[in-house]
Amino acid sequence: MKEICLKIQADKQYLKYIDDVLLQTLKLFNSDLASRFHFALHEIIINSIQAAERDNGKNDNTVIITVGKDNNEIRASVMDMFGGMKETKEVSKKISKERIFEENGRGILFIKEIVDEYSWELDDNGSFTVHIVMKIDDKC
Amino acid sequence: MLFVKKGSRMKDYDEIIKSKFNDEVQIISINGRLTYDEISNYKEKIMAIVDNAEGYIIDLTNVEQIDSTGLGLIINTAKHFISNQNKMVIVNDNPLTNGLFKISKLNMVFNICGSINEAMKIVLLKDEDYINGVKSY
Repeated sequence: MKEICLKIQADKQYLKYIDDVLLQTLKLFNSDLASRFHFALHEIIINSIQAAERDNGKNDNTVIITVGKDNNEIRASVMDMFGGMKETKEVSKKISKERIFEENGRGILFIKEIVDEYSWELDDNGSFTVHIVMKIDDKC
Repeated sequence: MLFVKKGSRMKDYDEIIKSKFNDEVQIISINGRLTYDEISNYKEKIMAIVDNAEGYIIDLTNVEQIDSTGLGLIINTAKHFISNQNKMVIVNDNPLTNGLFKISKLNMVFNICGSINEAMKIVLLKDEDYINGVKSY
């Protein structure tokens, strides 16, 4: 198992740096899946940043990103203290005709379409973690 | 904790969002990252450079990275053209971005093609021959 862990501030001014580090890491893990997996991971991170902006400093704005790889899969988790993406758990995999022109609300839809596994957990201490997994074998 | 020095370099948005005219068609090209950290700067800029034209092409071929907020910006811009009865084509050759258009069914409501030449042919069609994807949805 190869794994890296980034502890960052949930602030969009750091997003490009985070993207660069994660994309390079994912390319080392698996160059075929890197772009798609990185897209899904980026969506989770921007959700954390948006949640931090809504939180307006009430909670610790640290986000912990872990990315790992073993023989069969690439996995990532993103943990924050803002309740992150839980409000989006009901998002359907389908997008209706009425919502097709909406500017927002596609992030979770994309993640669910791109990765093989998507789950989230809310701990008693208020930490919220999203997990994503992409299988390697059947796509390469 | 990862600490990154705050960037103080001013970005030249004239270099990031470019506009040119070709046969009365305005081609709006976006370069670089179309992502959450940049999007608020782009919104104003894009609408400010829109001029009267026979049709519009949004060229994404030099976009390095796009996310759902970037796609939202494209939707908003394209929606503006379509609601004003303008002809509009999106040019994109990135497979990941094309996949996003498909997932969100935007390939059914917008004309999307792989090159400026192809887009020009569509935009310069006569009004009666031109059809937005939206009409066939």
